[in-house]
Amino acid sequence: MIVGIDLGTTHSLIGCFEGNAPRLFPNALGDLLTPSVVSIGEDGGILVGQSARDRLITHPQASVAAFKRWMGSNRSTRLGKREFRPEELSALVLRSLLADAEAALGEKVREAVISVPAYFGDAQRKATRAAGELAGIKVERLVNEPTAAALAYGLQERIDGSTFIVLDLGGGTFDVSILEIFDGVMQVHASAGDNHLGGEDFLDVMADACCRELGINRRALPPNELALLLSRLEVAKKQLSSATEAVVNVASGGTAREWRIDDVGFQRLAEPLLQRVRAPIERALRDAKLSPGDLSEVVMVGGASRMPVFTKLVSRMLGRLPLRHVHPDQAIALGASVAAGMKARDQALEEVVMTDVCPYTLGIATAREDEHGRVSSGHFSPIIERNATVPVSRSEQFCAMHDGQREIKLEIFQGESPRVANNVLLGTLDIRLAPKMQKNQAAIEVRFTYDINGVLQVESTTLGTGEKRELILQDNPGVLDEAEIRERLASLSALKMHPREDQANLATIARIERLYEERLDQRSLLQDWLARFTGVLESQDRARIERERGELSRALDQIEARGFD
Amino acid sequence: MSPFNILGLDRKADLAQVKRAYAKLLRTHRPDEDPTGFQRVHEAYQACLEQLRWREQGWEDEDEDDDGIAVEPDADDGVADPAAGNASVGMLLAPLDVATIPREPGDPASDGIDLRVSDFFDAEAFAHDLGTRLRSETPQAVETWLQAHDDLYALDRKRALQASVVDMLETLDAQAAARHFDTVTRFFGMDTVSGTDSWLHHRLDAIQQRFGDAADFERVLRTHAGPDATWADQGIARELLQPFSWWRRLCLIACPGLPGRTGALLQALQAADPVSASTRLDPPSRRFWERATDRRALRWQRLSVMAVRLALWASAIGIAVSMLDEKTGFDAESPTRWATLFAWPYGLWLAYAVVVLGLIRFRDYNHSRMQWDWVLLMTAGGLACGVVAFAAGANGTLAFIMTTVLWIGARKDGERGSSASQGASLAAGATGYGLALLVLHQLVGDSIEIRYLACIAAVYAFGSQAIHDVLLARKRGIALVRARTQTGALWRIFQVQGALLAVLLVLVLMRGKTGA
Repeated sequence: MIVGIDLGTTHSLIGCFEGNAPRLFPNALGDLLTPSVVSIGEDGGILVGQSARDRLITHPQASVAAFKRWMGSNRSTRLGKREFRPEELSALVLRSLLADAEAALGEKVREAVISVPAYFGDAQRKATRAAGELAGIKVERLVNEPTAAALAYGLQERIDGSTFIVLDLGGGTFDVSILEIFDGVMQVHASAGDNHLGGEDFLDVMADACCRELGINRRALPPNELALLLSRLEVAKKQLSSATEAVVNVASGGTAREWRIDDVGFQRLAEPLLQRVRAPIERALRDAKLSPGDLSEVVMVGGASRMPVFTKLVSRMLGRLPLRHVHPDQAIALGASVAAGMKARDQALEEVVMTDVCPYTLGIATAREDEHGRVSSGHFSPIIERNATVPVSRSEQFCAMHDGQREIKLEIFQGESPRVANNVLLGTLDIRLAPKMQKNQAAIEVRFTYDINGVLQVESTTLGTGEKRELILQDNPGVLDEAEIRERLASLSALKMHPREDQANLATIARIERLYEERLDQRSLLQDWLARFTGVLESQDRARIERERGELSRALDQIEARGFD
Repeated sequence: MSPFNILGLDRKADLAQVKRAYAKLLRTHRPDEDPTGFQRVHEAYQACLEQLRWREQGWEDEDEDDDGIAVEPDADDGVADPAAGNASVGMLLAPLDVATIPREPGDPASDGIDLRVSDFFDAEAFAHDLGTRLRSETPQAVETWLQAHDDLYALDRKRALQASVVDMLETLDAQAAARHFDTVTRFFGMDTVSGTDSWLHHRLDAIQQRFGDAADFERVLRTHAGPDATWADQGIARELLQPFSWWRRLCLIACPGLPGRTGALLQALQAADPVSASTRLDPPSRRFWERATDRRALRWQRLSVMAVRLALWASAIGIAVSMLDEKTGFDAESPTRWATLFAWPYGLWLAYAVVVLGLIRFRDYNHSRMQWDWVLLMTAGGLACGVVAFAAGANGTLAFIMTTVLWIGARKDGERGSSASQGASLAAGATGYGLALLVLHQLVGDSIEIRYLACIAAVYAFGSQAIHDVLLARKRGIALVRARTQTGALWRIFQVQGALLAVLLVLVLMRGKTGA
């Protein structure tokens, strides 16, 4: 059984394709959405999900969120006594999800299809695969998030013969994909995006404005107050989706103040971020050689796509189109599950074929000579243009720069800028040339092969001698290699993860602690409840624990719903 | 094998048939299972679409030929059956929660009509407006204006503006283009590599090359001729940038090493940016110095440079020899003899320089109106020098030369294009000093040695300069050292010199009266 996983910046989900439909698995708390937050308890045990998210406020030093943004880099986080890489944090989330799936399926899961932003680069994709390996599963296929959303949406709506655009504005990334569905073929025409634009950035902008207007120094805030402020601003941001004004209660330095934000003000604050939304949409349309009139639908996915400022901008850019919010939180996971089913060659999906594109250009660094005879180096010569349907294999010939040149150092880059200085170096290859090479004579032929799993293979043939050299781009400085993965797998396995049965209890405790931090007015009451609940836990009476927990949850719900006095 | 054949169709197939055939083939050649097969099918599909696009635009189909996809006809591929039903994705899915945005009255998205975009758009006015802003505003301000521009939300329009924007960047001067290149190309989506728009990228490359070169040109110029470069280097830069200045060219020719430096700077500038070199450097000066420092051929420019230097040094040596002879008891009584002997080379040199360089100027600038006043003044200056030399004798000549050289050394080039006034001020200065010497010599006679007279004249030269500079600095409110670089009004020089001369006369007369 292959499962499909949506490993998101703020939430993660897991599902599989069963019967004729994708199905999502609930976690130990009964939710389909598991927050992508990891926390270390006092006993050194790992907590993942809602309990960890509550602990962001009560134990900010021991908790971390939104680490998907650091995938593909070397950034490490300190939790408790240990340093964690982003892949390891993602692996911990994956483990928790897999435990949920295994509990529902009753069998061990060995392989998964994980969704990644379409615009994720090579290093980030490798890091996602590494995270899967660190969680103990095989990850051969990564599916692009907009494509996954389109799969779910397209199959559900029985779309046929339609070209539409998917805009995925998630917590940390923004992706645009233009797709066409016909005769059971789902074809991606073009993808574009921005890896550093998401709901978190809009939150950040609000937080800066709030601190500025209230005269708070954001950097000087203690971490738990900051986390509290951010969680309240998040609530306000969501409120602005349906109301024209939101009020935030800010408690800092012992005093409680109010900050108001209305939709006009939010629009003004978010203006620079919204402007960044334009470029990927334009580029995707341009690369697909389409104009907005050729699209029949605009599909919006991702929690942040609910923001009215975003939908207004999109409707302005794309004209009069029906805008559809597919279930923003679940669509990608459902699509990933369908993709998992396709990989497993599920009978129900035999008729469906999916093709995807490589969203970035791959090429090499070259030098050019102008009409005055001056040589300038650092130009980027594309070999595989962006949005080529994968798998793809292209080759180009290149010449020597001067007479008698004996070797060429091939530098392989990924990116869109005409200058290699602005692109990402993937690898280098040293090639020996045939003797007695002349300037401007074709010296080598370079072939790039990019397969459906995103692995780039570079092969160079020296014309004249026929010598071939090959480079498979596996190793990447920001990413773990085989040996390191094995090492870290061993050390991760040693970490204690709470069994599923305990998670509900731990989540309740974390929730009480968080409310204690937030609600100055209810503290004594919450303290009593906490003491009573821990007492009940010690009794180890299952039925009694469940009953108490249920009552407690309802009481806590009431407190949260009541708002602030 | 034509792409249509690969898909199992004939050449007359339409779009729907192509798509159906492609979809059917994909099921047997899936991208994850059969990469090579899939690529072949996919490329054939793209080629068919391309041909259908051409056909739509009225182009004839290409003849059946091998377009590079070398393929064995697959025996299993039959002709696609157009009667086969649509492959339906028959499956039952739990419906997703599809929510549309709540529609409010008056919300543009809900009406389906975007009232903000006007249909009429004046592209030329926009390009003109953009050009004005690029010349005067910062990149951030331009970016903010572009992002807020209502008409630019329509994507087709924005795309169509690319060509006019590139046109405008090409006409912009290099500094403005360099400043705004990144923001403008990013906004209009021209900052990424693309196979289809290679014409665009060639032009953008050329623009970047241009201001890259212009930046190099500026850098070379600044290192050689910036405020902290030596006086000689600054003079060289001015020589190349500004129109012909008789005196400046003479100095550059006369001083050792300077022609070489001029040639080196010229080569560096031309290597940095040939285009800027041809537009910003003065063409006749550039041509002259190119030919004068070209070691490969013996051109008349180079010859004239050599001749002028030879004459100058010959007369200088001659005069030095005369001084020595004087010490050894040579008969210094006859002024005419010494004047004849050593003023001649000097006069000859001056006359030659005037004539030759005047000819150069005449030749190079013969498209412009001949400036007779300039020629007259030059001649007058040369004659004045000759007269002085005659009258003042050998030591007088020496003194005169010394003061003239001091004058040159103490002055920098004045305003651009005022070679007439420069010549005039030179002549005036030379005449002034010559007169001063004459007067002093006549008045004082032999009571003061000529050597001391020469010193007095030198002090006079420096003194008048210094006073002039102080007055200029106070008048214009600038620092004293900067006054050296400014040209004062001609009359002020005369004023100062006249005043000093009067003072000297009074002193001398008083001394004469008391002494006599």
